[in-house]
Amino acid sequence: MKITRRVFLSSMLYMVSTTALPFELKTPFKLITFKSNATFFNAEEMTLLYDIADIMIPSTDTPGASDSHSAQVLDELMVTWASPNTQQQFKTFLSQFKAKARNTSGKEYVLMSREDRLALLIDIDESAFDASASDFLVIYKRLKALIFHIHYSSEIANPNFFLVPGGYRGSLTQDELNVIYERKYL
Amino acid sequence: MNNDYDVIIVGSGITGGWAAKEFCERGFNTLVIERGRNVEHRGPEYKDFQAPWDLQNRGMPDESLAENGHYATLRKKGHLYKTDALQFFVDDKKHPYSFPEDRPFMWTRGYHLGGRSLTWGRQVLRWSPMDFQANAKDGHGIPWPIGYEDLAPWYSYVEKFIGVSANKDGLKTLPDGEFQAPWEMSYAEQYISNNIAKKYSDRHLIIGRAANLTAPTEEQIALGRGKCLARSYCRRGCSFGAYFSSQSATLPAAHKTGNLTVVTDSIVERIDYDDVNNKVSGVTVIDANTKEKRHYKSRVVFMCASALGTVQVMLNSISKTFPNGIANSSGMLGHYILGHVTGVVANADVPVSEDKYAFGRRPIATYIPNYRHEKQEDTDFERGFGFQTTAQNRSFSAPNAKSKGIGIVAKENVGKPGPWRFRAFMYGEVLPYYENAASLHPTKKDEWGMPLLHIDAEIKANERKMIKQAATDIQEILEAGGCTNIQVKATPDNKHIPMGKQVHEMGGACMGSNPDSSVLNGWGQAHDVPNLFVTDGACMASSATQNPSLTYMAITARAADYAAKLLENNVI
Repeated sequence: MKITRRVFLSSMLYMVSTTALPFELKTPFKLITFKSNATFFNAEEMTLLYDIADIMIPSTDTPGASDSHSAQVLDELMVTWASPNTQQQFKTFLSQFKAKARNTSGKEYVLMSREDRLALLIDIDESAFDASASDFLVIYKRLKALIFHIHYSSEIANPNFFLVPGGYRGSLTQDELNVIYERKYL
Repeated sequence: MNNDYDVIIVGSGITGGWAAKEFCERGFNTLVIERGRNVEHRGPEYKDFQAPWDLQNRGMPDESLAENGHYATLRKKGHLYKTDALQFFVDDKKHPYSFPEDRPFMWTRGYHLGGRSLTWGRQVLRWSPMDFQANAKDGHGIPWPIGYEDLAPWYSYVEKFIGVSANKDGLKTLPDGEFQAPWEMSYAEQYISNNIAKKYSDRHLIIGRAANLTAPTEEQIALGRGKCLARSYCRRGCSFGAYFSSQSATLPAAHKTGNLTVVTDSIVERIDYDDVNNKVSGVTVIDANTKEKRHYKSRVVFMCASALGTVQVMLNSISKTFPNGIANSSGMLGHYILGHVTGVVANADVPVSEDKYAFGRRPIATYIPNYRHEKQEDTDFERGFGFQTTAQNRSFSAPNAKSKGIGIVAKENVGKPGPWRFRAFMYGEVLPYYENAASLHPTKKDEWGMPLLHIDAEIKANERKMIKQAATDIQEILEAGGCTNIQVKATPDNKHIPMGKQVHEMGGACMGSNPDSSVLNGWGQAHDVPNLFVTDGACMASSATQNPSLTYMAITARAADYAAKLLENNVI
């Protein structure tokens, strides 16, 4: 399951809110706003999902969730994989997430600074793994697991994956391994 | 359509394919009947060229399947419940079976051409003389009517054809065979193996013996098979034919003769018995799609439908002579359901000194063969256990979505090389118990009208004691191996361990010398019916600790040779 560049570009409108950037990040802190509905999620939900995924796994010197198009893949999975129950859960979660952002910061999520959005998600993430997590947090954990799975099973996140390794070697130095990676075959 | 054949083989899996090859090459007009659909070798059902990102739903089966109760057994196995090979496993909602509520049995099946030969583990281990002697020696189960010496030439015959990559280890507990070049141990595995060798004379860590080609022979190349390229996607089907399956090897060999007919989507309902002549006359099948019945006739029938599948058909084959199932004058049909038990899992770090890595996905694990055939002073149980083990790749820090942490820091921790980690899974022998049995459900039937198989089998006190010893042993072995941070997890006594979890179900139509206490003789021939043979896992009188498929294949090739001679001499 891949998202083509054409589909990816056509689904987005513009970027807003450029803020101060930590040097580790490859791309500016910017909120990508979707202009049109995706297959399952509407444009507003996709905007939230895309940003949540990007904050969870940001682009640095290695690709992040935005590079692997994790939000768009998740949108496809909602149609091809998710049950009606999961579909409803995620819709509800995004609605509650939006409300939580508003209650926390006094403004809409899309108008929050990157630092505030990051802080909000860190707060949710830290609470989610407590024993007494609410339904909202349980669904957050499902969402996080899916985003991680999608990103780390993507082509861009696995540059040293070989569909046909050609053989097995069990005792290589780092230099020997690098040569094989370069050659792309044993 | 001519429905008369010399030989009918029920099932197209690992033993059915062998029987087909042997009879076809001997010139017999042979029919293979498969209950499931056709699966073409290198056809669209093989997904071995799909990268993780190409898999349907990134490997996750449609959620509604689980919510609607499909694939209940496979879901419990976890690692097999993925879209890469889901098509090769049976949905037990569509094909139900029965078990006592408090003793669930896990029956992993493959209803398609090739059966489980497409998804098997490919670990091919000979049994030792001690394994065949065990029943007679300790009095459990029915004594084997054959010994290692009877089977040894057939092990060789099978190994040469299928291709076994292995090392000649010189162990009396695990006889060597006809091997191609072995797979390499990893740096960490070799480290542990060397250390274990310094302390023990009876315990060994060896490279597994794989039915994956490392040096294809001319015969294998002529069948279109190629060298294994270490993808380890075997259960998806292999377009290179690098691992042995019915599709890659035996069925093409049988087809070459021009003597093979294969019918798929045909569920054998019963073996037809001629009460007057005391012979089977053929089989009755139900078309899986139209549900119409058909009859096929033959001079001999080989049952190769998998252990429990064969028992189900035999129990359902009732006649005036055999009101409780064909060839069941002993009353033993369905009894002595066997298997393997895993109650111990161990993990440990391997503190090697050099900074080494591995490349490729080796298609086989390492192995610690059973070293407890003889009851020892420090033990209170019969038989023994081995360990399936691995440290084939160095660990890398994995993304952890199941704990706190997001953002740059969490991400930057992913993919960093960690220590080599060694894992070991106990594989213990479940003693033959008469009361571990399969029968036909008195009322429930499947959608084709076949009575459901009811499987009532459990592990008992002997296996529980074995688990405790295995936990003690693996701790000691890993310490001797130089491992650190050893974590041993043993299943507690109060936790149910389902039979069938390790897939290797056997028994139900055991071989034995005495017709009063066994179903088959030493040739896999029914004591009661001379032209009926059973050579799949049902014929096994004990389970040993080794993966059983190689032994099934050797028994089948030997039985086919015997039956062919009887046919040639018009004895049957």
